[in-house]
Amino acid sequence: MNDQESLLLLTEQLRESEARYKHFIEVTADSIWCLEPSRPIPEDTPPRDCARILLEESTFTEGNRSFARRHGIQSVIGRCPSDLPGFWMSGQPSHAMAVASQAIASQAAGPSQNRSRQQDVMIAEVDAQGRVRHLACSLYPVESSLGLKAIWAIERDVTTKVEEENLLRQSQEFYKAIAETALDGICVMDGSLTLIDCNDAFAELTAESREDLIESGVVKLQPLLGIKDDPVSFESIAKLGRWRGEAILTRRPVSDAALHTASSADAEGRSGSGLHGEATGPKELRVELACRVTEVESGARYYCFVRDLSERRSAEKRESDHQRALAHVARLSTLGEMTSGIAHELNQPLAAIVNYANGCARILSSQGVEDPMITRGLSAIAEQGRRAADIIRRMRSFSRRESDKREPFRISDVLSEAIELSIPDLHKAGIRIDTEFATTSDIVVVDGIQIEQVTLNLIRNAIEALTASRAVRQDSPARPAGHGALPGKSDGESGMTVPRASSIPAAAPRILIRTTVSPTVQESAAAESTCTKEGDAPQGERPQVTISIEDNGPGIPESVSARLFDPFFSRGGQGIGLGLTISRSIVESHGGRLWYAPGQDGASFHFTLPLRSAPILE
Amino acid sequence: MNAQPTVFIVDDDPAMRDSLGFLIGSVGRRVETYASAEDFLEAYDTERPGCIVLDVRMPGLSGLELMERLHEDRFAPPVVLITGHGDIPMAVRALKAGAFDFIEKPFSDQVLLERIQQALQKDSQERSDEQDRADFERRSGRLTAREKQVFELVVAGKPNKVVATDLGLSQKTVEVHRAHVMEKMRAESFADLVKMAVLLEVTGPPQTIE
Repeated sequence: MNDQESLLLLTEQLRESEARYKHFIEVTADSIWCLEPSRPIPEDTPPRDCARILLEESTFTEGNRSFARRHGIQSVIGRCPSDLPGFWMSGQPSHAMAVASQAIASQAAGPSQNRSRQQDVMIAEVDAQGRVRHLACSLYPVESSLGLKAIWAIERDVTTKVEEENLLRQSQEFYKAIAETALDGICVMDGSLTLIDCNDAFAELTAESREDLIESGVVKLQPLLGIKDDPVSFESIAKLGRWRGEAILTRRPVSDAALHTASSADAEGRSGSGLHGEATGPKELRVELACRVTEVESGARYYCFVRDLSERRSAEKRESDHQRALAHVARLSTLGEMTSGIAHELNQPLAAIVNYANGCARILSSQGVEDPMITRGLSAIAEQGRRAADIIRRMRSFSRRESDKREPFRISDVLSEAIELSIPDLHKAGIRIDTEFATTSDIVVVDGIQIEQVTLNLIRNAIEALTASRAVRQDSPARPAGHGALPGKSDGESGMTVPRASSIPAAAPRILIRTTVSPTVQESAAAESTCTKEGDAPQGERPQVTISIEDNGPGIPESVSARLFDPFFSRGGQGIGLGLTISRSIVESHGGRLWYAPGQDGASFHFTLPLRSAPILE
Repeated sequence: MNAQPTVFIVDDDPAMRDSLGFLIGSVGRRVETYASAEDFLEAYDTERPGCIVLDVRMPGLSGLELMERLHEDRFAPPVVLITGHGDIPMAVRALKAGAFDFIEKPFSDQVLLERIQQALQKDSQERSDEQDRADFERRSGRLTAREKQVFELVVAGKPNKVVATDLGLSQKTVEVHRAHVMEKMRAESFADLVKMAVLLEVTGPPQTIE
């Protein structure tokens, strides 16, 4: 082979090699291009200008198919980067700046091997479909003595990888947040039951710091019987895959914990709750355990969720204690009302007994009768009567003290509340309720609950009277006029007949609740001005509100109305006959009165309460 | 006029009412009982001497309201109110409304009877004062206009000489008028006459002099 032949061969080989590389360049998935500025960019050009020149005054002199495809065109050669929408996020020069400063930095590094000038940079751009692509870009600046002459670049699309990494990071953050926020203790153990990681809640349960715990890797967690009485050891749990049941977690002794951990007070507090009523000893905590086991290359992984049962139990106990206390208070206040209600009524007969006994003693002595036995008996009767009255008085003052919580209320609000509570009953009985509330100031200083109870009680009475009368009307329309308000009572008891609904066109059952304020503001002002002369409060004109509850039922026979307020006198309703007695006692303890008056077409009950503007006498 | 005073008991509780009547009656007092303030007002005659025993807590017209109603009359009998134990505001109201006294339940019979005794004394005193007043008024009605003038000036503490000057009379004439006044008023002494003047509310100098 002569020189010519070998030259030809060499040239052929070179051409083949070039064609081969060209082919590689064309088929590779990476983008390869060369960008040449219209004139070399001097070394000292500020990055901003450099970026502008690269983007606006340069042309691509090379660009493979992959690069052209990325921008949705046939060829990029001869084009300017600003012609390619999305190139280097061209809308945002920051990417171009990044590239330019990298290029300049490499220039500033001084003349050296081109190889070492390779600069790697992560950039993003928007492709022809509008998707953001992440590109790992290797830049090869080419310099002349005049400055940067060209940039070669190989770009690899790493979008999928970046997105996966993002997802993974988010997922990690998500689980980290869950573990850190969870109220339950969470820990991970390897196949040899060494602790790998745990959250703070778990560390708190063991009364150790998380760092110490992870460092030592020692956790004493002993599963007890599971829900289905599964055999319980972590080995058997590993076979099951997952497990749920109770377990014993051994805590560090509290004295040590107090010495070593910053949150010693907290640790002691927990120890207290763990100790409380538990037979497992001070260092053992009864917990609920949920465990999941997975297999990794190095063996089993136990994921344990631990919940402090002793604490939850004490919370449950506190809750039920609270409920019991509430019920107790409710019972006590009912008892208190009954006591205060009947105390007054019992006082009357007791006082009468004492009076009779004392009267007898005086009569005897005035007649000169001197019988020591009789005298002693009579004085004993009086003495015991007084004693009984005394007991009742003490009970009464006790119950009063407990139930009195007076605050200013608008009486219309209190009444509305009571009506609200009666709505279901009224609805069931098909009774309409109307209100006519005085529009003037109606503020009373009362125990709102007590006055509400009085109102509720009077409304219930009216409902009972109305439904009872209707029942009689419907059941025995032919029966002669009887006792509409007295179901179950004998005719003889009443001794009189009342015109009943059967002889009167039946009106729709209705309850009316009215308030009237007296005297009116003007009247009371007038009364006040006349009385101030003597420095005296107006007696007959104390401002008060009268609350009236009226129904259009059959009314109450006179014989019954006389006994209405007797304790334990019931009209055969559901009550025990204390409602009106208690109500009257409540109203009187508020300085008001409660009475019955026959209405125009039914019964009406009225009670008064002093208005707040009333002069305070004390 | 009825000499024997009556204790009027107003209480809605039948047992209480009756036993109070029994107790008060046991010491020989005359007693009448009423079940309500309304009943009492209907039957009551202001001419009858006595006192009222009232339960403050009654349906209908309350004890306080009854008292207020009674005080509308010029002449109200003393009222002993029975209040619930520890009902201080009510007791204060009662006294302000003009109650003679109040007693708290439970009360001792001794205290109640003493209060009633005192109330009756007060009533009797007031009635006898009223009686005297009526007598004095009748007597002063018989005085002549000149005698009335002399009466008023004399009880105002003016000596005869000054009275004579004031009225433009001689001292001798004033002395005669004064003697007539003493006689007509049946006053036994000057002090007696002044007492009558107080009851009749004739004090101070006359408004006009003729």
